[in-house]
Amino acid sequence: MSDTDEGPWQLWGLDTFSNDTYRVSCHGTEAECLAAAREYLRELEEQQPSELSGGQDGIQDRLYIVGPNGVRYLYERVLDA
Amino acid sequence: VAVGAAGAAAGVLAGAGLSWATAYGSSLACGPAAGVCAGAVTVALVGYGGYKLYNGGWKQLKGSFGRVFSSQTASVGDALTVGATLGGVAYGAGTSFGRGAALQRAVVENGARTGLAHREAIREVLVGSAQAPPGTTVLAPRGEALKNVLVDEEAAGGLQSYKNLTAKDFSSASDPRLEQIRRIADRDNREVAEALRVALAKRGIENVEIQQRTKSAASILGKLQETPGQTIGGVKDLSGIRINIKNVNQPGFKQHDEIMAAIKEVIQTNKIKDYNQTPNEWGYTGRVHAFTESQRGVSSEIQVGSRELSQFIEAKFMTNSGKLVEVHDLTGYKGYLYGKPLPQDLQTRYTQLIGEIGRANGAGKNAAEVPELKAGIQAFQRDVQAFLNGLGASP
Repeated sequence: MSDTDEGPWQLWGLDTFSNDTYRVSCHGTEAECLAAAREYLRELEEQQPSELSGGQDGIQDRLYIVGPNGVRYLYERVLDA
Repeated sequence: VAVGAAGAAAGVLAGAGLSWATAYGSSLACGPAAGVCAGAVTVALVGYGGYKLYNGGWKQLKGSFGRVFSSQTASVGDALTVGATLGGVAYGAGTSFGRGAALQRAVVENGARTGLAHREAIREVLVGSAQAPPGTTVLAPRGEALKNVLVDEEAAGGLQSYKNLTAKDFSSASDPRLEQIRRIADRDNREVAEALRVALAKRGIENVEIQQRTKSAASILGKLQETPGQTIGGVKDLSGIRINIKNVNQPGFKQHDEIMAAIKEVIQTNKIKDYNQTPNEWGYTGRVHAFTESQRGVSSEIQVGSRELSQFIEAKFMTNSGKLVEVHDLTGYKGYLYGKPLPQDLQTRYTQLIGEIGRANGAGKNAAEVPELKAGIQAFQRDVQAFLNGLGASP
């Protein structure tokens, strides 16, 4: 997985509780960005466990994949994938 | 490989019993006699690697290893981390383990050649690693003194020494101080939430669900970067707790008031924003936000509102390409992750409906019990979906 300062694919976090956004990392490809999202979501699960935060339907941070040509979407968790 | 593995094992073993601050501090005790310091420097860096592993920092170490042992550009920080871990205590015996050990030697030699005190030589190299790629842990220019209080702060459990830090003090989200700040805040978050559960139960308030989260390390840094000069002490929701009323069945926001009374038993609020009394400029209403700061210096925000309000605000929709988006991020109300916002009339309806849900709750009803409101929500969600469908396959 490549994580660079600049890159067309960016992983963003959304603090659902406060509605604050923050950039997590940049990547050369969508696949790398998705892999980073999967890894970061695992970290989030440790920092904001679903049993306390309500998970992705509660106030656990959301993850957005932001790419070229207006591609932006919410990362769907597949924790065990 | 076998020697490297043995070195890594030795490094981890040596490091696991040390904190970063202790190890780093020990290296600072060295004078300009660089050669004498080699062992101490190694121990310090091994302690650093061990600290990171011990505290769940495998990701950073893994990233450093990946960059050093591949064709990617490795930073000085990467090499030091790898070299310290692989080199382990064997470095003192003169064994070389590649780029990491070579850079450790460079620290020593640079110090001797330039006449810098050893601590300055170390600092110069480590601070130079601020050019490292994101994800690499480096020392911030002002980090040195702060590293030395890391352990004490952990023991005391407080954030007082960190309160004035700003984005400039951190070079990446993997700075261990951010993780420590998060851990200290998390302790508060869990204690306050548990105390709230007890207080609500004592009052017989069962018609609620409690959600809690501590701001993630990356989110804390993002918040600092958002506003120049923003300090750790100025982040008002390091700890966040949301109390959702599952079923609204009393008028006059009486349920909100009962919950707020329970909250006031548990914490001393320093600020309350009652959006039921005073909606914000775009019509946000239906919730009460209470703020407090603990003796540890952790700021907390507690939100009280109906669950259906939260569900409406954060409703998800599917785009034509099968991707999910949240309605809130289709609006201009701080939602800018999504590139194509809803048309203005839909955004207006969104805020109006938030207000109407709040008013229905104030009348002691759930939205589903008010036919016009229920129909309005359904129509809005149908129109949002139609808007997304009309965008075509992209995004």
